[in-house]
Amino acid sequence: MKHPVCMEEELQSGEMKSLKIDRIPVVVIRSKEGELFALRDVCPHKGPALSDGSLDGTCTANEPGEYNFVKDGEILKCPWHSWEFDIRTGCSLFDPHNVRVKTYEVTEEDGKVFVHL
Amino acid sequence: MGTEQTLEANQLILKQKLKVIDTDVHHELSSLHDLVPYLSDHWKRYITDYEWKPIKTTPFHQVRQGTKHRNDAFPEAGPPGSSFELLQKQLLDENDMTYAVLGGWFHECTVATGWFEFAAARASAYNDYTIEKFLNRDKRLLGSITIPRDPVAAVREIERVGSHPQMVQVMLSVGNFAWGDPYYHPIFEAANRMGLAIGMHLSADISVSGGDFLRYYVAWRSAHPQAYMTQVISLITNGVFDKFPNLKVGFIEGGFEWVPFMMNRMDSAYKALRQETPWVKRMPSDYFRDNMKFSTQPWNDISSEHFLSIVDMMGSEDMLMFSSDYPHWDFDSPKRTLPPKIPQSLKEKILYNNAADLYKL
Repeated sequence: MKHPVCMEEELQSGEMKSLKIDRIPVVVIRSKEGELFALRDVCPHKGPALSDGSLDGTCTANEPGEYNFVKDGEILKCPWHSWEFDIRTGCSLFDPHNVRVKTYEVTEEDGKVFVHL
Repeated sequence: MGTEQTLEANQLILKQKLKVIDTDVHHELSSLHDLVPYLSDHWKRYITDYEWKPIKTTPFHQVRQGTKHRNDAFPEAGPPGSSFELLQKQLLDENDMTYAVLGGWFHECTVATGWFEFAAARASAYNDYTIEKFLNRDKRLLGSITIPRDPVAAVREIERVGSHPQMVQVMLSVGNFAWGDPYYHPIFEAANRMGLAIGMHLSADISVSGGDFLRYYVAWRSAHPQAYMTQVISLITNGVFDKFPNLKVGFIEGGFEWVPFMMNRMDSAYKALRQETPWVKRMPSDYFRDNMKFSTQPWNDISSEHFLSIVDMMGSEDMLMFSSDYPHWDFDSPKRTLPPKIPQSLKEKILYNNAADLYKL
């Protein structure tokens, strides 16, 4: 099912919008590059709304002392325990195969943003 | 446990209504100027005119917005914990709590290494602020007495505010020294005499073996239980519980899975080495069971089976008490922390009865 979220201009780059669709909390995100993503707006750990957290980047390293800043604006960080989720896949960064958030398809048509559940 | 299973189990807990005491809540000053009304003309100048600030001891900073706080706990003005109204709504009302114990976040005056006169004045001002802005506005809130480290000044402060009906404990901040030393025993005597418990909570000065702060926040935080072990060992071997058998100590935010290990290790050592500390009259594990309680936050995501094994190894269901650490980032919710498959009677003890026993509620 296709559900309207908002007008395109109401969701700017780097912004999130939370809404409920058939009682399912969903967060719709426009990344810094302008791409749209949607995830279930509930942290699978303790349940707060992920949209109360922040969009951030993260760091990788191959050696102790190294910091490579990556995925700028594509990490959704929980407002409570700082768990990191990749907005492209919904996968957590610490255990991507076992801990993840459901993702939904998002489209733009006629100046509007839609989520597909 | 997979995500779906966790969610399902959590739904089950959400349906049960249990009484709750939260044993670790951090109310805050909105700024140091909140202390000014409670300071003498002499001391208030250091804040109003001389720009005094507490020392920042750790080299770290949190990798998140909101620093050490839950992102959703910011009031319209001031830091999380500084608004009575938001704390009341977000913690007490939304979680349906019967009591919450305010530990504050003002350990700096307790772990200060000198100038105890000003440290004592700050502690007194903080206690007055706590009483006026929080305790007197909601009977569900209970308080901790912040003290300077100097025992004479500490006893004076305990006697000054210890009879407030909502003050339930004396806060001994865990820093880089051990509180069991006989030098500090007048503090335990005063708390015991006034019918107060002792609470021990980490300060920003909590240091561990291997270098004060172990280079990274994640390392330092992981090692905090080390410092709590030091305190437990210090209290027992210095005979604090032999001098004050009715005194009870709550160890807050120091973990609990290590407790059965230390009970066994100390018992074993005592059998061989009792003569060195002959004033210690009982097996160390007896003091753990009779005089100590441990809070649950930060909850490690362990299974029901492992959790029940730990309780079994403690030999008591009366030693653990729920804590949330509100409004800090690693908050544990009373409805979604304890593993679902543990007996209802044990849940009731951890969420309410054990803390009610510690604080005589």
